[in-house]
Amino acid sequence: MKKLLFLLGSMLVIVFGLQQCKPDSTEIPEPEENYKSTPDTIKRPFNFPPINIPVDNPLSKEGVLLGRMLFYDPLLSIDSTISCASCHKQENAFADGGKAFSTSVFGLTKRNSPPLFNLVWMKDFFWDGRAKTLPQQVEDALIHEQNFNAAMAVSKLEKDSTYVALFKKAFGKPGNITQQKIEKAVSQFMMTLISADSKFDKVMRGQATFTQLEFDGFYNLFMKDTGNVGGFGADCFHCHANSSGASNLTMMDNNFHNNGLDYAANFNDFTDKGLGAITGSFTDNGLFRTPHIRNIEVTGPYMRDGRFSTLEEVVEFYNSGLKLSPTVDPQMKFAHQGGIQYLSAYDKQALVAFMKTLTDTTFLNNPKFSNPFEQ
Amino acid sequence: MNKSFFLSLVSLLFLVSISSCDKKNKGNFEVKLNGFVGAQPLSFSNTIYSDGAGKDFFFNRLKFYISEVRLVRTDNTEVDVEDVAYFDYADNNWKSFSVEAPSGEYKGIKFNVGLNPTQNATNPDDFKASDPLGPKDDMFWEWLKHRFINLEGKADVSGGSFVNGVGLVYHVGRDTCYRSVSLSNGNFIIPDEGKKSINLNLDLLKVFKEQPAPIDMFLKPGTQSEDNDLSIAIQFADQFSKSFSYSE
Ligand code: HEC
Ligand code: HEC
Repeated sequence: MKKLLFLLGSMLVIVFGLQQCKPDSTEIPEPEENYKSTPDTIKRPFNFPPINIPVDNPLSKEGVLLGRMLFYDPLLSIDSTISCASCHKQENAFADGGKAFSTSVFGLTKRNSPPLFNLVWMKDFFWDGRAKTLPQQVEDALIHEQNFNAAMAVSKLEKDSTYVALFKKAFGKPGNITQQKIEKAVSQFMMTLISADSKFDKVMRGQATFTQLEFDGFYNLFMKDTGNVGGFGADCFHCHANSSGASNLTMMDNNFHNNGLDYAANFNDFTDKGLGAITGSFTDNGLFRTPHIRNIEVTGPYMRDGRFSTLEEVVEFYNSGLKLSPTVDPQMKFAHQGGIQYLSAYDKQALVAFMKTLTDTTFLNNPKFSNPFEQ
Repeated sequence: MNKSFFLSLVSLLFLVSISSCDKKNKGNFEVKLNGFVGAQPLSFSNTIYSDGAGKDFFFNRLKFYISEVRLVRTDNTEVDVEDVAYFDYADNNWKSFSVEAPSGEYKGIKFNVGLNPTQNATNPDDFKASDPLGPKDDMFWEWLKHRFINLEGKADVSGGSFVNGVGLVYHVGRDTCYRSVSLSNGNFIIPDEGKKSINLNLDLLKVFKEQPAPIDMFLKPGTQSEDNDLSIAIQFADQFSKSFSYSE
């Protein structure tokens, strides 16, 4: 009871504190209500790290809804033909399901679209990490991927009363529509895209069990070092799992690697320099941010250029298709012999079976993330 | 849970949160990490080093913990200044730390490389990301606990293209790799007013060349501190802890 009182007391103090920050409003003709948003939160899933929402872009129900509408609205593109969702489709965990997407103005995208989820735990965006924050990323996406023209989009949105009202509610006064607010709203929607309810997650929570094949795929292959160290694993975890804390289940290392896809005779021989083109350092050439392994079953084709269509091909690549180059990752310990080589047919099946437990059908079908104009 | 316990917990959490905000920037004594490879400054950008004995190499990752940082007064008494500090050479925010230290003349610095067993038993998820013990990418595995040192790069024969080079991965951890360092590279004074900065210099060439146990990058290119490669981790921790000095 006392604890409750104490809690109530501190809440009062906080509420009081918040009240003090509210601007006073006397001569505004429009009701105050039109400029007020409803705070929204995202739940931290089991064994995921804390979520840090940027202080300059707190989530609100209206902001998230606005972002979702903008995400699905072709109105943002110059010729109103494509939206973010043209290349980021929910059924593919917001990847595009194809090798490259052709836009009317810029032609084919240079790289495969990565899936979009769990972005709140991500530190660098795009395959080469060229954006460091989500709004920065949206700005880049808007300019490069979507034939976008900020002024044009703003003026189109200004003519739409639904959007005008939503921008006011989501971002308060002065209520105008700006490129920055578009970026923030889309970021808010994307921050809510959380995928943490696959079979794998259920197994980790003790609500499901792996089959023997899946079990071996995860514990004895994916999570185990290769032959030279701890037994005959496949060592995928060094890059495709996270080691920042106990049981961090994001399954991404937030890091850049060259996983040995292409031969290069010297540091400057990479067709796509990746991180090196951003940092300007030749020792970074050929490095790319580790992609998501979650939902991997539906995000193919695989690798930045979509060169592999199936997970079986990917596993065979790690087993026998590795190529040498000056920056190939030191964790690709068997690059000098073209791959791990010792994976048996069973091992390969087990790895694929495990990867398929990462498919989160709840996420893929979550009505909160679907096209709001089709409801 | 009774009220006073709850209250003290709350105030403790409050204090913890306050002190962890303060730690990194405030304080009159600053320790700045400078990496070297021999006489050359350590850089992850466009830089290939040579050991002068047939090997070329580059690095792209260096992260490590030091703990129990003490300053040694001229009368040999010691002042504790910091429990734990984390360095990430790629991240400017984690290349230095500042602490509060009494003014006066000092003749040395002592610290340990890695985390003491109590610190090593903590879980990063229980700390904020801004705390040295909080979540840091690639610095913790549930079964081996914290990594004390994480050094990665690549080596090749001198003049080589690095295509056939050897990947370097030194992931050093576990309580047995905890090492003490005692440095006396000249007296320094922390003034009554203002701030004193000390450069903590780490020479990676020494790790691989210093007697009595130089590490041959080709023969021992890495360790995960698992049972079957722990001996390399131990040797690496020995060598690493002998490769520090300070300068004003
Ligand atoms: C024409 C196809 C296309 C459209 C339209 C498009 N994207 Fe993308 N998106 C891509 C491609 C391709 C990449 C990867 C580019 C790269 O890494 O170089 C990408 C990357 C991203 C990323 C980075 C994901 C990661 O894992 O780093 C985000 C986030 C993103 N897009 C959001 C958006 C948003 C928001 C929109 C709408 C404003 C949008 N995209 C429109 C194709 C598209
Ligand atoms: C050294 C780090 C590293 C290791 C170890 C590693 N990967 Fe990868 N993986 C990557 C990187 C980087 C990419 C993206 C490469 C690119 O497209 O340029 C990738 C791509 C993939 C993809 C395709 C993802 C996509 O969306 O296109 C799959 C699947 C995959 N890896 C599975 C595995 C498996 C299984 C293992 C263990 C046998 C493994 N990886 C080991 C770094 C690694």
